[in-house]
Amino acid sequence: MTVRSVTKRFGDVLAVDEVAFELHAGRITCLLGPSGCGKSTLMRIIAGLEAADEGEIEAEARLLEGAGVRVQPEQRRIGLVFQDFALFPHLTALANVTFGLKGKPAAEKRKIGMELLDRFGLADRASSWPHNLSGGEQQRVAIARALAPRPSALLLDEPFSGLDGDLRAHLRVSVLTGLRDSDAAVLIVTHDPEEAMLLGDDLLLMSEGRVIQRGTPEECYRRPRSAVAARLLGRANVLPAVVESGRAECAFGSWPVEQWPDGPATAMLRPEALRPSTNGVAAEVVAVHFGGVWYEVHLRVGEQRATMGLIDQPPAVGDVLKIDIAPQHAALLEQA
Amino acid sequence: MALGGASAGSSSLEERQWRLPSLSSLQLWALVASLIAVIPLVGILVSALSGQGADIPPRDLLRYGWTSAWLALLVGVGTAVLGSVAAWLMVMYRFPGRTFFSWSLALPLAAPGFALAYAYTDLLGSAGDLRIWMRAALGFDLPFEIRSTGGAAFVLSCAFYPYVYLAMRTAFLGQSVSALEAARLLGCSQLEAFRRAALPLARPALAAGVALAVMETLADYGAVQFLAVQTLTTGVVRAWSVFGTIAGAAQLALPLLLAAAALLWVERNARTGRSHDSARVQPRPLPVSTLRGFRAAAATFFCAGLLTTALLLPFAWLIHNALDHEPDIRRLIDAAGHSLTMGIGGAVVTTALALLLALGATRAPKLARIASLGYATPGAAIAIGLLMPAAAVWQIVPMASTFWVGIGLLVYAYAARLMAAALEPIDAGLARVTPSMVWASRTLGRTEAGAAWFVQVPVARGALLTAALIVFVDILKELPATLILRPFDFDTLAVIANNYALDERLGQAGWPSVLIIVLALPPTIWLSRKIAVSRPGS
Repeated sequence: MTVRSVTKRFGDVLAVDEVAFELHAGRITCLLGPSGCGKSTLMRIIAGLEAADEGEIEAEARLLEGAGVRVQPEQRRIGLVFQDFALFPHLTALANVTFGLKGKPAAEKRKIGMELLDRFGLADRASSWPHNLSGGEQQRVAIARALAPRPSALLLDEPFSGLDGDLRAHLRVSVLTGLRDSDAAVLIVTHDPEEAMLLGDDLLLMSEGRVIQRGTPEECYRRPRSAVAARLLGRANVLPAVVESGRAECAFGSWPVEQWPDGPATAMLRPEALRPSTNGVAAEVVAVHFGGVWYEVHLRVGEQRATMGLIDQPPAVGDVLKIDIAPQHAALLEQA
Repeated sequence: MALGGASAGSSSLEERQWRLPSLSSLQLWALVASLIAVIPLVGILVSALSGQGADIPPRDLLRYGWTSAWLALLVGVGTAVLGSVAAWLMVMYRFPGRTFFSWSLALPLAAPGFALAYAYTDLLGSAGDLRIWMRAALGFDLPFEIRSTGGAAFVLSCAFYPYVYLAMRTAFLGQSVSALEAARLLGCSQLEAFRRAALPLARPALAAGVALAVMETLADYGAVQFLAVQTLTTGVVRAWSVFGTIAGAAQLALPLLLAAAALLWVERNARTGRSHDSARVQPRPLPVSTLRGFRAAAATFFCAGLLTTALLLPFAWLIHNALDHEPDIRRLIDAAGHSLTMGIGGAVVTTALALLLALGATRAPKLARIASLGYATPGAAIAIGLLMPAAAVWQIVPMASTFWVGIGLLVYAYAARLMAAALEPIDAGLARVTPSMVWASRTLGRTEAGAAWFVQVPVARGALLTAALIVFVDILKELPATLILRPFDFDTLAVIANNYALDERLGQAGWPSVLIIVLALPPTIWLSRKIAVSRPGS
């Protein structure tokens, strides 16, 4: 599927601003962005539930939207899984799953439906009513329902946001297998960076209606193009730096950089980029908080502040730590 | 494959902006449905202003108008008091019989107003057995005359208090308990808390319930006409039936239209005005206090008295009277058949139209308001409003069978009047379908109409039944529009009851009246039990 320059306005507000990307069969793309950045609107436009003001959408060599053409949602063969699952309360799980299979004999519908439910581990819940299913079960039925008509693309809107902690992690694995088996091009919309990186083969970072970066999760995490992009994926220390003869230097240390013009720049240091060392920059410990995975240590060098993480042996407030920078976790931002 | 209103080839932005908003088929049907309510209103205006025929003297207009207004005021007060007290008792206290009364107090809705009028005239009228006996045995007479505006107000208050009762009951149940508790903590007694906290908070519901009761009062024909009270509605029917002037009837109907519009505005505003608190606070179970001794007896006595006066006594009296007279079985069965056919047929048509309106009006709420105007308009006025357009259509397309024209007009009048009554439960039922469910069905291959048929309608099944039953009961009780529009020799139970009563054959009038109540009771019981069980927020 190809999305080209799709734009959507609500009054004066530009909800979607010239968004363009491609989805490929068998690959999972995650669209990551904060709430209100336009990702849900974009999804509805792709599915045909809303009209784009400008731009084109193409799927399977067919123009779905653009140039005076607008194919109705029921003809687009694009599956959509909603945040609230939207199961039909008057139908059993199996009937929900087979809802999109029109024009097939009943026996075949049943067979396809049971196969899908089995793939998601729900074969024994086939005749349950939606209100008797748990949140995780409802979600899997919703996904199975969207997959049943073999869509060319599958869009999932915050699929795990309605589920809590442990269940989420467990479900991600089972849903992932189910999705990969389906051959559809999958787009998952989420605001959870961890989820986006764990699930996605490709990432699209979105902010204020625009796609600000695309790439693999590693590329986006290690080499973000802007501070906004960096912060979407996790904690980032953004500091002024100076590049000179192949090295970038900031308040907390320096590291080698390639192919970067000399002069002022902006540095992005992930918390894991700062590590204690025997001869590095002396930084004062301003605060220490225990966060579960590690201790969050807030440091100060002169006017600059940064956060680092230490798994054990946390320092006390007021100590002076020597730190240096691990180059693989540090980057320079292309845009300030 | 290329759908959505834009012609192929118009790719520039300017051309797209000139494109008309394309109406989906559902929205088109909704528009048609709402227009059905509008045509009779337009008919009234045009007929009244056309002036062919007698111009009603202003003196008469004023007299009828004054009586209508006075009656409306009396019934408004009567139903407000009866309905509110009953609702308060039911919600706040436990006393013997409470569970039974909580749904049975709504049952007087099964009895048409004219049935109550016949029963009470026979029972309490000056020429009735009771008064004759009193004069002879006790030497004095009761100081009132049932055939008066006061008598009509009594009868109609009995008939219509359930509207206020149901509205207030819902309002009290939905109220935030904290408001009442706060009032008590600030030193109010139970009664004071009711008067100063609960009642003001429930004011919107009171306004809505009273507005409904007053709408029905203004629309009533059978009871009022029998009790010799000359209201605008009786004037409308008389102008048409006795003086044969449609224009005159329409002129009398105009003030009714205005009153209807005003009442509708009150009712709708009361609904939307109900806002803030109770929606956000999760209602806790109400502190129901148990009444003991004298108070418990008084509460039970009040409820029993209300139910007896409004339904049981007149019903029993009608039966007692009817048993003294040999019924015309043939005529009765014919009329019952006609009533049932019109009731069921009308209910199906009206519910279908209301469903179309509800489905298509999600993006245009104004359409639903237009339909509501029909509900506020008395049946007599709607019937008059249909006569002129019907005559116009007749001239263009003369149809062979006047019978089917009459039936068609009658069903049309029922639909115009009752579509809004059906709309309300259907709207509530459709609200259980979330927008994402509709979108999900679209992405699964259903068109907009398909989504409505395969998802929205099945989920709202129960609401459709509720709506159909409400319309069915209302059609059974309907009199004035039926009198005006029915084809020759097509009488319903209401019509023959009215005919017998006009001949002063009250005993005979009992049979069809009782039959109406018997047919209307099962759906009414089902409906009131359904309402009684639910509590908002649960």
